[in-house]
Order: sequence, then C-alpha cells, then structure tokens
Amino acid sequence: MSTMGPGEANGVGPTVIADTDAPPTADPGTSRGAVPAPRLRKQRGGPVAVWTVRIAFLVIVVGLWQLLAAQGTINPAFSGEPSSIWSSFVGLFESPTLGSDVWTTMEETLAGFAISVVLGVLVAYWMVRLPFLERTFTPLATAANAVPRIALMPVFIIWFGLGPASKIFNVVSFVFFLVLLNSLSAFEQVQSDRDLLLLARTLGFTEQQRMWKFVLPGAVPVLFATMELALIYSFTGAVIGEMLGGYNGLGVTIETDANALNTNGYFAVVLLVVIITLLLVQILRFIRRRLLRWSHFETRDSQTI
Amino acid sequence: MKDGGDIRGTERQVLLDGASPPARESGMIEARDVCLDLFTPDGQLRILDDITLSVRPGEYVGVVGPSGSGKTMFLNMVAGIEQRSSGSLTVLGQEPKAGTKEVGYAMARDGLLPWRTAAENVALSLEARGVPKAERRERALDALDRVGLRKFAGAYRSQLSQGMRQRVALARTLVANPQLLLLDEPFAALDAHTRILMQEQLCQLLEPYEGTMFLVTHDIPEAILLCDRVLVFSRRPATVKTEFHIDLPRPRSALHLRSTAEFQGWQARIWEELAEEVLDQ
Repeated sequence: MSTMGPGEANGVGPTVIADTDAPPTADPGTSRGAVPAPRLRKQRGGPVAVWTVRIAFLVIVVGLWQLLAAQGTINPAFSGEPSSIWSSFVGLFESPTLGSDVWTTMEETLAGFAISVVLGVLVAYWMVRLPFLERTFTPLATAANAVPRIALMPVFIIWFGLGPASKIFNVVSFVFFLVLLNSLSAFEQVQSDRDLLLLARTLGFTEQQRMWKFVLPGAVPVLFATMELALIYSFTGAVIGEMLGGYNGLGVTIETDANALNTNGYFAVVLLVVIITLLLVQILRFIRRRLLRWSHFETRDSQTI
Repeated sequence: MKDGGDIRGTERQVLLDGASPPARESGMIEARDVCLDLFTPDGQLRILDDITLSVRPGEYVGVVGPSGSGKTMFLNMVAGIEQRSSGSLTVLGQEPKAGTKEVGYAMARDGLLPWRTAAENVALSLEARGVPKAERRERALDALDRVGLRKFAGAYRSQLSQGMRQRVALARTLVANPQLLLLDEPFAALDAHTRILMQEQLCQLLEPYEGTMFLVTHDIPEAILLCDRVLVFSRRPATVKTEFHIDLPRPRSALHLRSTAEFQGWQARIWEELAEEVLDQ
C-alpha cells in the first residue's frame, strides 16, 4: 500500500461528510473541512454498561461454580473449584518449568502460524494469478482441509519425533489450508468487482501491478480476520500436538495434570492458554487497527446509518 | 463553428501541466460500420448496428440514447476494454487499446479505492505512467484543487459524499491530462441538484481544456451544455440516428443557459428524436 501523506488524516476520528455539495470552504473550523458524523440514533448501552454486564455475567458463572463445588453438589475432584484453580494458577508462576513450557508452546505456535500464513497467502496469490492452478488444486485443498488432522498426529510423531518439529507440522496441517482457502476467497471477492478490474485496465496497469495495487489491499481486512482465526487454531494445534505426545510444553502439562486427576492444575493451565491466546490476538488487532484505518471508517460509516 | 477542427477558438490553454498537443493529423475517434453482437441463451443479439461516426481533435461530442442501446458498450470499445464484432474503429489513429496514456476514461461508478485517500486515488492514474512519487502528489493535489476538493486530500472514500467521490474520480481522470477524455454518465449516481452543480463545474473545467471529449449520457441537458455536437443513438440494435450541432456560444454556464429559449429549443428537438426510441419499445 502506498502511504502518501500518512499524517494527514490523523486524529480525524470516524467522520462522515454529511453535506453533499457544500463547498469545502464552508467549514473552516477543521483543517480538512470534514464535519463529524451526526449521531443519528443514540446507541443503547455505552462501554460502561457493556463492561458491567460482562463482568456480572462472569461473576455469576464463576460464583455459581464455586458455590456448587463448595456445597458438594458437584464433585470438586472432577469439576475443579474456582478458588483452588486460582491458587493453582498463581502457583504456576513459581513452577521452575513454566517458562520453558510456555516458550516451547509459543515457539511451535508462532513457527507453525508464520509458515502457514506465508505459504497460504503465497499459494493463494499464485492460484489467483494462474487460473489453471486454481481450477486444478482448489478441490484438492478443500479435500485436504476435510482430513481429520488430529488423527494424523501419531503419524507426525513417527515422522518428526516427540520434539517441536512434529507439533509445528501439526499446526501447519491445521492452519495452512484454512489460510489458503480463506485468502483464495478473499482475493476472488475483490476480483469479482468488475469495475475495479476495468479501472485497472483503462489506467494501463500490468497484471502484477493490478494484483498489488487493487487485489491485495482489498483483501487485507479478510486476511487479518483469517490470521486471527489462524492464530487461535495454531495455539490449539500446538497444545493438542503436545498432549498427544511430547517432551514439554503447556499441552504436556495439561495432559500430566489430567492423568494425575489434578483438576485444578489442569484448569489453571487451560486458563493460562486462554490468556496467552487473547494477548496474541490483541497484538494482531492492534496491528490491524494501525494498518486499516480506512476499514475502520468504512465500518463506522455503515454502523451510524 | 459547426465543422471546424478548432471549435472553441484559439485562446484555450492547457488544463493541467504536461499536456502534449492533440493529434491533429487524424480524427480522434473514427468508427466505420462498427457492429457488436452478443451471444445470449436465445441466440445472437445485435447491440450495435453499423455505427459510423467521427470525432475531430478538440471537439466535444455527446451521445444520447435509450437505456440498453449499447452507448456504454461503444464507449468501452473506444477505451479498448470491449471487442467489436465487425467494422473498423481507430482511436488517435490506432486500434483502441486499454491503458493508452493519451486516453482518460471516467466510468459511471467512481471506482475509488477505499484504502486510499482522495489524493492517493487521484495519483493512481499517474502511477501506471511511471511519474515519480513527489510529482504524483503535487499533481494530484493540483487536480483536487481544480475540482474544489483540495481540503479533502486526506479523506478516505467513506468520508466523502457521492458528489465528492465523483469529483475525485474526475480529478483522477484529468490529472494525467489525457488528449481524449471519455466520460460515461459521469453524474448519473447523483441527485438532481448536485448533478446540475457538477455539470456546471465540469463545464467550467472543460472550458480551458485543449483535448477532445466524448461523452455518453442519458441526460439531454448535460449533453447540450457540454458538447459541440450531440449524436442520438436509436434503440437496439443501435445506429446513429441524428446529429445535432449545438452552436450555443461559449463559455457556457448551465445556470444561465437552462432557462433560455435557445437551450430549451435544443432540448425539445433532441428529446423529440430520442422519445421515439425510448417510448416505442
């Protein structure tokens, strides 16, 4: 994407120029003459209300769990108990192996994620450029995506051993096809806009320029949504891989705790996995927001109306 | 004034920097017996039937015709993005080819890229021509200035009204300073009032423009206002039915002209021709 004059639109916020034909000089108050979008309808429930209900919901669910476990209605040995899970969770950080477990799982997740995203987008790009490839391989990719990959994990362990390599392979087998198929449909969706194609042709762009200036930027929002999904699946793929056989990692810890009927420890690690995943997703969303200011305007635009 | 190659006198200047002089040795558009057949489930359908017309350098020519008469198809052929079935067609003395530098095509839809600011969208025309980045920005801002949108250079598509988007698209076409300007229903998407304002603005923009303009529209006043010559296409299969030489003096102004008897006379005469095609389907 070209970044001509990146600073110019900064600090504008979601604005819609409401007046159709007012000359731009009509509102000298703002540097660019943009006027804030009129609030058409007061939105029900601001951020305070959202957070209040959200936290109340969690408190009720966890409180109910705690209450039922304390009363003995459900057996804490099998269901865990929020207060004990919390102390196990805090205890995790005193464990000497936690650092290397987290590191191993992160390494597998991020390596598998990176390989899948790069390969997936690249292959999708060339399939869109060369329709013969697309016609030939799209059904095969769909079929491959339908294979139950968890069932193949033992084979991956035989091929690549109990170390990180088999987990990375598992993640790639989970995520690559997801990225490929989603990128493919994202590119095709942009390409289906005939007007944009004609514009590119009448302006005299080459096929490659057309892909880079028209198709790829248009696909970026969907690519980011796909990456968010891919990140979650990568983490899951790595943890499941470890659970099925590995030296260390969060999945191994989960499996060990489950086998030892250490339910609270088990849930504590699951909680840690959720927290790490959310952190990674937040990082991705932060990047997305920085890159896709225009997309932010588009969605705000349609929301206000 | 009707037939001369140099229609609006000699005092016209270059619209934007870097114009090359128009090719005067041959017609800008020469069409002879151009036919277009489309293949539908019901068989072959003739859209354009022996279109013969010629547009001279510096001339502003408009085509009006009923919906579905293939006006836009013909324009697309001139732009090189549609193939004709038979006949001969040259643009700037050559076989039409998409992406020709001397030709600027403004389509009915604005086609602005939502991830680019207005200035970046305008600069898009120059990117295909290998203009250096700093110059691109300079010229894009200048072109936005000409359509009255300099202040909105940093605005994204979603922040602009439909009229503004259309003007940005116009700036994108004009910034490359084409010798031949092709306009397809440039203001069709706008409400009636905005459209009149846009037409007035385009009229002022085109006054100093040295190139040639070929306009397709269903809006008769728009064609009269902007053009030296108006061609009426018949209903499908379309031929050139009638030709009107609009000898209204320039500079023209929509706001003045519209209420004059002369303008309304033109409107009535063209509509009379067109009505037969529109109403009798």
